[in-house]
Amino acid sequence: MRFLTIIMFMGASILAGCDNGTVENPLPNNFAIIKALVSQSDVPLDPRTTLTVEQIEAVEVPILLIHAMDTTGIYILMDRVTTGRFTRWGELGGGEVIFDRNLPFRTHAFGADLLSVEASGTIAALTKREPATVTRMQTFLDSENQEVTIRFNCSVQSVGETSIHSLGRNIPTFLMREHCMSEDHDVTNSYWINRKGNMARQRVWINPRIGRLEFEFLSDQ
Amino acid sequence: MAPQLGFYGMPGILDMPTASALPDGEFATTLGHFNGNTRITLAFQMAPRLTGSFRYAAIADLDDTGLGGALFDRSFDLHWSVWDESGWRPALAIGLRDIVGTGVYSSEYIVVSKTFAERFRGTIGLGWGRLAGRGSFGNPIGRWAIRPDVDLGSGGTFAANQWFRGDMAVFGGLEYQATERLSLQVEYSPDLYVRERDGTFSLNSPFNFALTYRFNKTASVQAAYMYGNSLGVSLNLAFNPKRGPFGSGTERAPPAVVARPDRQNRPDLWTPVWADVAEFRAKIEADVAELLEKQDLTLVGFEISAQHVRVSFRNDRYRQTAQAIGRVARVLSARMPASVQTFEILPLADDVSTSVIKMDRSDIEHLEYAFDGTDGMRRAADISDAGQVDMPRPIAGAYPRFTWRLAPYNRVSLFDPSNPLIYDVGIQLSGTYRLAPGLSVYGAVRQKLTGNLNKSRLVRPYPQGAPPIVRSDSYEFNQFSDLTIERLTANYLFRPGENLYGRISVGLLERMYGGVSTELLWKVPGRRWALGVDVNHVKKRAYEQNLDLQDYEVTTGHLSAYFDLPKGYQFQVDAGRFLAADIGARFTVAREFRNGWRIGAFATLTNVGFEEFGEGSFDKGVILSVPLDWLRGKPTRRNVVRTLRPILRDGGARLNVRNRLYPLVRGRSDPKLTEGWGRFWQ
Repeated sequence: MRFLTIIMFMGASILAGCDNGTVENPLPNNFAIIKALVSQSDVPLDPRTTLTVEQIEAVEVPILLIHAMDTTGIYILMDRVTTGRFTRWGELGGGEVIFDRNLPFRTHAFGADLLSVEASGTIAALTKREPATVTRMQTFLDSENQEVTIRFNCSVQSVGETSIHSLGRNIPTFLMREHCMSEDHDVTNSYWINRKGNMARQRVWINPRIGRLEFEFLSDQ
Repeated sequence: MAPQLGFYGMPGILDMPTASALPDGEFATTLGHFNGNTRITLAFQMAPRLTGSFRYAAIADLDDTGLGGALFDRSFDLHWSVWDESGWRPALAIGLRDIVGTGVYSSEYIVVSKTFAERFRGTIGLGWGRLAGRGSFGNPIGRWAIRPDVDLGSGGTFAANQWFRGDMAVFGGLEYQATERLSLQVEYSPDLYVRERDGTFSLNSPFNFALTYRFNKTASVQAAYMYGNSLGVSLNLAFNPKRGPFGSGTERAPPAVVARPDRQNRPDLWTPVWADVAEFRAKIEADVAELLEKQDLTLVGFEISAQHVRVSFRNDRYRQTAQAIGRVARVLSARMPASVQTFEILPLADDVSTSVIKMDRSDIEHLEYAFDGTDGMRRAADISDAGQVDMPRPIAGAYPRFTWRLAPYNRVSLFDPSNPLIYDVGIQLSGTYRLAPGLSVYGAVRQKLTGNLNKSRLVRPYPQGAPPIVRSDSYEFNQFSDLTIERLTANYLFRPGENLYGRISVGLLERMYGGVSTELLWKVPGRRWALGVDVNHVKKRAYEQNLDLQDYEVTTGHLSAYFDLPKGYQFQVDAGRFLAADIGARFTVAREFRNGWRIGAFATLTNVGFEEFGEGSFDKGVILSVPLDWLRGKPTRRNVVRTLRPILRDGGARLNVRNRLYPLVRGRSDPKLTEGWGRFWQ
């Protein structure tokens, strides 16, 4: 789960592409992406501010971007497999996020990983774009391999039309917020749904250790 | 206000204690120095209300060995937090300093601390022993008025008849939390440093002052003005094994469970005719071996029929056996033909079966994405002893099989009486040749590259009537820099019956002894206790650590009882005959965190008298085991294990055999297996 991994994956993509003589060599575009991702700074760059739609499309695989908002990290996941209502996104370094109808259900390799989430009420409210009072349960592993379950009482509210800026363009979305309270935690999750009805971006509190993760499906806007 | 560590490395202001306690499980190291006094303390919050510490101190110009220089002293403290602060009630604590050392810091206290105005904490207490110096007054309890002189002899014994006896004095202090990171302390100390004043120490005032800067939750530094004439500094590093730097780990995600197609839609895929085709079965076996290899697991045995599959595997990677079992189940779900309905998975402990885990494939398919899938899978899995279960047939290439490892090693001796840190660093080449299930040959050779362990020496003579020299000449083994044989053994591990485990080892069993070692363990899955017995006949090895042996030989053995108490506490008794042919028992108490951290203490009492034992009076020490996966975030079963002894002598010395059965078996059978089940889907 390091920035180097992203570069390695990009490198692997280049090599894979070179093997196929019938496909236009994507080297120039990928090289530009790698160049944009490599920074002299220790602070990872957010590809949303440094890359364009064309460059992302040139990679020719779906891309999920994860921004760890409280622990400062940018991760790019490219390997996608769907089984029923669950979609697994993986990356070369072994990290993985599993979504249940576009909401994070399980994580791997983030530390204090999310084991499971029960958020059927939230999913229904987001699908209908209607306010709702729901319960939400999140289970994660602590450093002692013990399952910790947090039970939230949540209020899902419609905020309204808004735009998000990504890859050099403004994307019109409908914003919904979910305010959740448990005995020890008071958190707010945000969901930006695009005009196709797809989740364009979401900012979700995972657990006390990971904090908030922001997910953005870069290839499907 | 956060608890503060004083110069003694225990909850305190500077030299005086407070009634605070560290967070449960917290481990703190303190290095403090002022006016010729250097103290290194390792403190551990053993239980929510009990803090213990091991201290190594150097006091300038107080040498009592005749070697000149400083006095190096080792001591243990206990601090019991009777109750916490609540409302108007202050926190109350009782403590004992230097309970089994040479008595240099011997003192006791009762102390209360109270926070007020949010940023202030006041402390006042009564002290005995060296805390009853300036302004001391008589003990109001008549029968405790006299603090008896105790002949500490060689040190290392409890002087309980001194505790809270004799004169007492008041001490106290005030702490002010100026900012989130900066705090100020002032204290009044009745300690007159009587013994230290024989050296270079001088004392002008009972008041001490300090500034403490806390960098983060882990590190802080304290600068102090001590006893009216000297500056001091103290560095504190604290961490909690419960809070690993990598949380639950950052290992690669496991392969996905592959659900079978619906039987009604694809009946052709459910047909069992493949089971009659040997080539097909062989291909499946090879695929499973390859897929497990990608998970860093080794397939050892494999048997398949139309509806069942049985696999045994070796796991040298994942600390929690449940995680390895989960990954095996995922691999089987991906590769087994649809007609295979039940999985039997046998994790091996050095090629010996421990438990058999039976699970229904449908449960794996249905529960992977269930909210309570972890608990659901544990309820669905049937775990039982594998002692009488036929092992699956070994796969091609499982035996014979040679594995080797080249890795750096270090041998560290902390707090040696002559030097606080002596060490050797080098390269170790080790290898295991597995001949048949349970039967193997293990060898390890070492080449020292650098170090100063050869400078360790015996600083005090043997007392009259001392037992045979069995460990105290370990420094002789450190004199050789050539290639040495660390171990070379033939081992046979086996299951003689249900709930029984056996081991026979022959050869160079450890660095100092070679011979024959046998062991039998009785452990019932699910029970929190087990019994074991070991009998060994050994001869001392040549100091050169080649194949030669010395004349000393002994038959040693123990009856062992193991108890896994709630909340990770462990208790172990090993009673029997030790290496010096002395009879007695070793008592070990430890706390093990579920991520592999283990901190414990042991004491060995045998018929070697305290005088005959020599300095320290009896064998005792602290055990620290740090899991490398906690440090690195990547899965490994390796630990860094250190045993800290005040001094290594000959009484109560035990053979250090590799692959003792209880630690080998424990993690791979219940209740430990179930305790780690949270990682099944990881």
